[in-house]
Amino acid sequence: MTPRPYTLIAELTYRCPLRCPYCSNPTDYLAYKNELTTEDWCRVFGEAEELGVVQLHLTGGEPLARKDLEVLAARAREVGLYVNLVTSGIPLTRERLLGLAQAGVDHVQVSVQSSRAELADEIGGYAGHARKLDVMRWVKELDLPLTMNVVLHRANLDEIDELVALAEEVGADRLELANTQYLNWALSNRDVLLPTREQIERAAEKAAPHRERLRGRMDVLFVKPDYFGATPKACMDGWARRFVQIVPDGRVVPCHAATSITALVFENVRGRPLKEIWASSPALLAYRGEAWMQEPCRSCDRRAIDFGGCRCQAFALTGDAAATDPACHLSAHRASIDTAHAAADAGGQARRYLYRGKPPNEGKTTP
Amino acid sequence: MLVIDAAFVPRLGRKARLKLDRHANKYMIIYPERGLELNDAAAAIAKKCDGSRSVAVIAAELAAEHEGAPRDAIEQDVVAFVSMLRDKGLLQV
Ligand code: SF4
Ligand code: SF4
Repeated sequence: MTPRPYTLIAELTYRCPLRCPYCSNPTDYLAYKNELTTEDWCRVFGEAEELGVVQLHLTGGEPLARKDLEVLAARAREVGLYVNLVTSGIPLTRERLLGLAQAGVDHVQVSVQSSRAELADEIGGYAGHARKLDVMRWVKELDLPLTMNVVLHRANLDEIDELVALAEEVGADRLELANTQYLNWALSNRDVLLPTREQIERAAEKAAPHRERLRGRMDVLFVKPDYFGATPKACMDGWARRFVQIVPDGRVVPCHAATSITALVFENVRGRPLKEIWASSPALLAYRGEAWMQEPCRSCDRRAIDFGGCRCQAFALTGDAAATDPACHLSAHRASIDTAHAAADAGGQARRYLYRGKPPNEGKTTP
Repeated sequence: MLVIDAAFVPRLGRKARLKLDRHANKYMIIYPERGLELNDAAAAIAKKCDGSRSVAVIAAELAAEHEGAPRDAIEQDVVAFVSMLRDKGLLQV
């Protein structure tokens, strides 16, 4: 039976003023020039609602780069979707935020790179931290729910207390302490980003009491990264199951990194209704359910819990998208992750990121 | 932490939207990046969490709507459901 997707992740554009070294956009993001039009997206939101979707993430890249964002938010709200705006906060004014709230944005998620302005701007490759603080305050002034999202890695993982304090200060309703997933840009920067195992343990221990203390006021989420466990995470709750994602050029994918699996051909909402693509696109059927599994997943008790882990990670680290996720201790390729851990524990690489995009001012770039 | 007792007047917060899901024909509370599917009993309570009734009044109304239902047990259900909303940060405070 075709599963019902509850969430549509609409990647409106891959343009973004920031250049985060862990960005989940594809490394060939510059090739996505042919963005869907306003009309395309408006139609797709209606089709998604018909398919069962209730949550919409307007994301990117930086969704604010789309001049029609207000129109899109209004249309999404009109068809009954809960509209989450996932943004870096750059470039945003209070007026535009007010307009977006009036158009129908229900919730704003703002990414923050660090609690320290200098480090935040170095990580993001853009001097934007001060503006992000303004944006988060505006969100609360307009009485919108706010999520502060921080992608965690070696350089900022020791800041848990400070990040929680910052989230409390701006009045966030949710704090997502999201450990880096090593795919796309993050995989290219893995040797620099990967923290030590001790760092992760310490951060998890620090986050837990905050979660208890703030229960009911702020939802503090800290998820241990799959690299640090014995079994993988249930990536996206299973391939093409609960989440449907559309990339800027209109192709329908199951997750952020799926276009990296070179053998798969994803169908485009320009050519076919979303409902048909969801039900019968060979790329979406490829790893939906369990039929595709090999050993050890095929006969494993956990296969209905973690779905064999992440297909994109399996492909990136083994060359076979149907292999057991190497984050699993039963994977024949687990050594590739353990080797990375050993290198990180021994001190890792100097903080020299491979940034996406061109530096904003040549000659005066971050180290 | 907010104490939920018979006198407490619950109201769904700004971030939560109660909606009839036309696909499953069930009520849902949707909130940032999440959704909560409600059974019929929970939906009946949620519809009354509008800031105009106390927990005791909600329980009394539900008892009247379902003849023969024990009021005390209903009140306990209301307290439990509203406490769950509180823990998820979905109440107006
Ligand atoms: S991760 Fe950073 S660079 Fe990538 S889209 Fe988000 S803000 Fe832009
Ligand atoms: S063998 Fe496969 S199903 Fe079993 S825990 Fe590992 S990844 Fe999950």
